[in-house]
Amino acid sequence: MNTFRFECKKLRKKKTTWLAFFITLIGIIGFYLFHLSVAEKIHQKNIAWLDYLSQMFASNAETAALDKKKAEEAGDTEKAEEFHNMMVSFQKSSENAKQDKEYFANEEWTYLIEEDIRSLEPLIEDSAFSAHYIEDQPISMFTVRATLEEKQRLQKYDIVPFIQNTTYTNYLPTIYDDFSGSTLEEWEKITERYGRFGFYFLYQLIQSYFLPIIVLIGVFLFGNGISSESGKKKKGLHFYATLPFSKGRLFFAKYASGLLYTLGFTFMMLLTPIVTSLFFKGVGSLKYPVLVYDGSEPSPYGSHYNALDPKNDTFHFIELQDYFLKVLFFSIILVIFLYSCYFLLSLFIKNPGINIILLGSMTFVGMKFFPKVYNPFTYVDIHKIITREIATIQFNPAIEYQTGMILLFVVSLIITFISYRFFAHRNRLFQ
Amino acid sequence: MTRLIQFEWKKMIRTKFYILFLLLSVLFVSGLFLRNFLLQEEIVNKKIEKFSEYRKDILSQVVTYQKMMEDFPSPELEEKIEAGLLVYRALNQLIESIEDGNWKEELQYEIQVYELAMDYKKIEGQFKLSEKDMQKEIQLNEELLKRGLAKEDLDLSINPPIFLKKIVTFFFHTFGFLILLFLLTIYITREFEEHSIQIAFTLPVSKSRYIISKFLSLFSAGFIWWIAIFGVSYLLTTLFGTSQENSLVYPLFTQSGNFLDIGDYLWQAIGYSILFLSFAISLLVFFGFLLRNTIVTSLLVFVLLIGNHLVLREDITALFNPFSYQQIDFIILKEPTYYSMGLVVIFCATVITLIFTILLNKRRGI
Amino acid sequence: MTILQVENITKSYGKELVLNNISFNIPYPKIVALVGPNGSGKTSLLNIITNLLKPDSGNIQILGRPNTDPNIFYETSFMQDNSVLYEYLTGYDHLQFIADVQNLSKEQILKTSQLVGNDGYLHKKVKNYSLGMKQHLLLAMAILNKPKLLILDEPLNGLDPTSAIRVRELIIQLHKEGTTILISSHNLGEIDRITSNIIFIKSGQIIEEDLAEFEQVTYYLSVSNQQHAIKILKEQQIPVILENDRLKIWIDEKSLQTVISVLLNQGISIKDIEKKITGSEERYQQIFGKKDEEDESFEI
Repeated sequence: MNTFRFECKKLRKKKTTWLAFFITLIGIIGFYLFHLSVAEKIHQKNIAWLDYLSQMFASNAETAALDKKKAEEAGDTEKAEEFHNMMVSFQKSSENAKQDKEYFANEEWTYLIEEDIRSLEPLIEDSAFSAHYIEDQPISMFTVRATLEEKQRLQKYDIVPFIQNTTYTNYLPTIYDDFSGSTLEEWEKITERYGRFGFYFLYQLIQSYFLPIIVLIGVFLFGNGISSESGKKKKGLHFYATLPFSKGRLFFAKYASGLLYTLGFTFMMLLTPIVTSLFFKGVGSLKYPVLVYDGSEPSPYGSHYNALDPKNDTFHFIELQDYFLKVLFFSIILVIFLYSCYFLLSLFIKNPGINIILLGSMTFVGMKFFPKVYNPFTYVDIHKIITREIATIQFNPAIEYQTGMILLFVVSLIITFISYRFFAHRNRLFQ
Repeated sequence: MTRLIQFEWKKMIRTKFYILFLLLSVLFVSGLFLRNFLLQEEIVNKKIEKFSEYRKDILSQVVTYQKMMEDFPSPELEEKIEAGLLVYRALNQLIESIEDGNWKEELQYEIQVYELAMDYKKIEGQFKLSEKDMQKEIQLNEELLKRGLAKEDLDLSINPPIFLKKIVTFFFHTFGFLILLFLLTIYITREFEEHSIQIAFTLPVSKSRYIISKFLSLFSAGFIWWIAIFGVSYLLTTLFGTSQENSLVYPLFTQSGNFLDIGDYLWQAIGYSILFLSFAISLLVFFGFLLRNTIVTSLLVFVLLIGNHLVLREDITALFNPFSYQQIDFIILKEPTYYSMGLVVIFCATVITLIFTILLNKRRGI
Repeated sequence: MTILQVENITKSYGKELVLNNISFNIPYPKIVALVGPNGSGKTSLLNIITNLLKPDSGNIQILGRPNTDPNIFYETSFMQDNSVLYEYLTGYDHLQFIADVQNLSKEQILKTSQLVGNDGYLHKKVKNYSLGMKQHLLLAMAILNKPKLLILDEPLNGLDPTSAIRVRELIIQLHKEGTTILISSHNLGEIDRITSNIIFIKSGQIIEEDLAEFEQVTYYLSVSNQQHAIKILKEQQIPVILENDRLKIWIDEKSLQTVISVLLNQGISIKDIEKKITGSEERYQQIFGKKDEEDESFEI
């Protein structure tokens, strides 16, 4: 225990540790502020757009009123009637846009969500009525269903939604959509979400691989315990050779102190957006619904014929707090896993820069290109594991949260054991 | 100065990491070329598959309309069937021309397919592509016909300029630069961490000369990496790739929908990548000499580049922000008019960063 | 001619004052030793002299130029701690780099290596060097440019007796050839054999001494007839007293032979002779106290 405490002290006393900690902290805070400013800009843009619409419709109504007057003066009652209808319609549109603008400006989301629900419900009720289109391509029925249920949940718990780059329905993008070309670009633009609250922002960060990036930074900072002391110049390990204790104890102290600090670092960085948001927009609701895919039936004719069924495939929602809880437990395992890998690498390569390039490449290549049940890196993209997105796309329900937790833990144990054996073998002087 | 640079190079060669990195990069380029080379037939198959899909789609619609016609005949349905069949026939001809390898006919029939498909869509027929995309394809095909060039698959092509463009997209962006910088960091910071820098500091070399020589040697290392990547790509595609006459005028769409010759694209990419490399390395030298610690310097460079990457992801670029040029493909296609001024901006940023580095380290000392 | 001029140098690390308004000059050609216990600020002072460290205040002139001018290193060399060596380079790589920067020839490298005695392992990587080999390389690096001022930081650290003698001789030879040398050490026994010009450094202050004034050789003789022996020696004008049942005499080595033959001729048998050099160590003890631990030491 003394060795462990000594190792912890060494890490704590290093100025560079603290400097790196603050750089990461400032990076995250900076990103939150940037994200917030983009969200506010989009929100203002939406308001400006509705204002423009309202004025445009009002001016059209005025033109129609003038035309109506002219037609009445000319005695063309039919035309006058037509212009009157146009005028009424424009006035109504202008009123609606004005009303929506007020809702947006005052952030009265309940009304806006209600409007979304009103426009989505008919699509579900009559599935023959083919859904909404983006440019010329249809939005999948799955997305429509998921969006509707999301809105209903937002309404039920009175939850503030994300900001989106549209004043119409705020769709929830799903893997069931199959857009291409410019439509895809447009779809991505209008479904990109911007969370202004701490929890929402963190939720989005996790979708953008925040967790593996932070853990990798953590292991980069704290995983060099052995490599930094076993070089030709710094022979810190030799110091221990003159003290009466076993290799096992030394290995444990080195391994556990770095691991503990990486864990602490990861949690602090996870907390940073939440704490920062308290000074700005607040943390948001933990009841926000997170979409979880129930998966699709695989084709009986073989995997080649597998296809998602947007009409019949099911889904459910979990609350953001459950999602975060899962992320929290997973981060512990992910820290152990990546830390063990880094620790093993650092026993062979003394250069932390090279180690982090290697581990970073391995993590991202393994995560992106080989989504298999027994590939531990598959589970690094924890968002897609919790929402069962990978399982659904791969038609492999075995790729799930629990499998990931067990697999990563077991692989970590094996890697740690290998590291220990290697460490013990190389440092015979301790025997 | 030359001798200082020579010594830096000796250190880089002796530590082997740089050489290994160079080799890995060359291997990666070769692997990418080999993949494209082996997938050449796949390009034709992919095209046939795509258009066969459209054809199947149209045919099923026509069959449905024909059935409806039997029960409820109407001139609208008849018009739809006629228009649908026209698209169908054009698609047949297009697929045949692809199979025959007749690229001119292929381009012409593709234009025809899209024109007919747009007519078909006007009378409420369904076609997978949006009108905007079809118009873009027509525009591209017409331009290709005008320039006498076959259409290339931007992902799988082994035509020299097109493959080089792919290499630009692959290597010269935030993550490519980051990996190079991570590797080069140690050649500055490790000297401080292990005190070896004191040897140079007790020699008749001024600090500014030392900083400049450090910058030049690291920049030359980056430049050799650059030459290796471009050189191997160029060699492989010239020796084993396909070539078209005038392929340097192959048109690329910019984000605003105009055409940019691939020759101009590559010219810009060369200018930007070399200069951004110099800026990135000057930044590394600045932070390396300031912080003198591998981990903190790498982390700071990472936070800076990733931060700017996130800004670029929001489509925010600025002519005078040197970090706007870290995504080379993106900046060329989004802001092709930035070019000359952009180079000046990056160059000035490099010089200013180096001046700051020298000023901050003016007094000798560790 | 003043080679090194140190004026009012003050340096502190946080609240701890390591060097307090230190001034001294070293004229040409002289060997001066900087002596003090571990942590007394010797290396800090050397680093400040060579401009590796910035002082809080004060000025340094080397060969009439401020030490901030890098050109001083054409005529000045600093042999540093062995941690500065590149582990992955060979000894030759190090020497070649310095020769390149100093515009020296390849022959100069070989000549210096032969002089230092590290030519046998010049092409081995430094990571395979022993401590002594590293010291030799550092010395070769320092004297490659035949400097006018040579600054050595603990050059005899880690050397076996044979190597230490060689290095000592080399330093003395360089001095004879006209090199001014500033050498730091915490071991006065070693320094005694090189120079008597000492700068003691204690509690941030310095005390300059010429220990030749203090230095004397004392012999302790255990003899059979003490009173008779004292009488004979006094007749020979040799200073002698009785101390702890032994004769204590102050003479040089040559005179000792005479003393021995005189005593033996008078039938006095000599049971034991002990030689003791006194002066510098006594002076050291006067300055620093009997134990180094009692000194204020600074964490650097």
